[in-house]
Amino acid sequence: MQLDKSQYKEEAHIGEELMEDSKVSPLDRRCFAVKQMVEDRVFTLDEALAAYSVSKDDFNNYLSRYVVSEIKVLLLDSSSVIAVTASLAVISKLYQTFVGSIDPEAQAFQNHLLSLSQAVSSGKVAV
Amino acid sequence: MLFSAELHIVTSVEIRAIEALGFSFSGSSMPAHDFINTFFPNFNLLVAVRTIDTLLSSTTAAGISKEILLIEVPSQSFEIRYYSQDWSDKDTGLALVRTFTLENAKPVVDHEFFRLPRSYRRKGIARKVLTALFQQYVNMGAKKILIFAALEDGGYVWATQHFLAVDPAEVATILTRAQAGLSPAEFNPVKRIYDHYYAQHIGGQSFPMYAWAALHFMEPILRKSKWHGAVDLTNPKEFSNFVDNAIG
Repeated sequence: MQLDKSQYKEEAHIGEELMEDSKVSPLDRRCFAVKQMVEDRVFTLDEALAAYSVSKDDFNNYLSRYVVSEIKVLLLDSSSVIAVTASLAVISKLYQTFVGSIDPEAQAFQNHLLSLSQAVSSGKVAV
Repeated sequence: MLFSAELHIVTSVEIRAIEALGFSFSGSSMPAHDFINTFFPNFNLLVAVRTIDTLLSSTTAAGISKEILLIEVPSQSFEIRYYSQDWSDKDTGLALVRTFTLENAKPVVDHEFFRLPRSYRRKGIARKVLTALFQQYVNMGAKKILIFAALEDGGYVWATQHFLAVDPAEVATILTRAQAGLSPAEFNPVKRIYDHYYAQHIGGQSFPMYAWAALHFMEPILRKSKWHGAVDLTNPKEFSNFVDNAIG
């Protein structure tokens, strides 16, 4: 029996299998949406947590695991200088995103991280 | 899971090995290995179809058609079709169709059709097939993956797998259905996500459907919706989101 293009579709059961086997839990999916919607400035953090029914503890836990995995990816096959400067860049980005709007000293903190990163890159600080 | 591109040149010996598996080639006067090497370089066709055959041949007692269609005009494309004679039976049918086209000389993969017989669903087979083929997408530097998230729940599940909606009109239709089906308090975040995205990206083709799918009250709305989706594999964020969710 020849295929009929009008009946083509990627069946939902294929996607359901991917969802069920996924290492990404339903809670992680909601936390991802919270993080992305806050980063994109669609919602404030409180609004996003409420919309996606995520507790602050669950989100903090997700964020911690996210940071660890991002740093591991960054450090993969990296030299120690790149590893340290990349880690500083991650800390800087996180600080800017999640604390920057409430800490009046945020810019000074960013500047310290930048100076440290430059010192590591130029060899003034050995790692 | 990390994917890195592997170089490969398809040979005539490999084409014969593919034919020995029962696949037939049609549609182009060019030798099959030349066609793939010229237009879809580094796609290891033998590895791909052998994996498909190994994983899927035992899932059906019906006869299986194994076809590879090579198309030269109006533009170069090829299609892998692997299906049982009872493919249209929603319980026992088996079908896998993948179409590869070129957009500005870069490959685009259309996930057109994938159905497993009911008794072989949720056994990890689908993920293995998708993973094996995804390696080939990486090898040939595929630009994007397309999907049609159809009714019968597809509108929801493919949103969770980080396919982004390409057609603003389809998204608007879903928004209208959400307004009709949700309370004002539920509809508010749905509308804000929509307004924010299209204010930033007029006519945008990457609406974050996952952000709707993660709102629990949107699940029934999306399960009854249909939309065309895509993953832009040249966008590192979309690439890793797709791999994390769909490949794992």
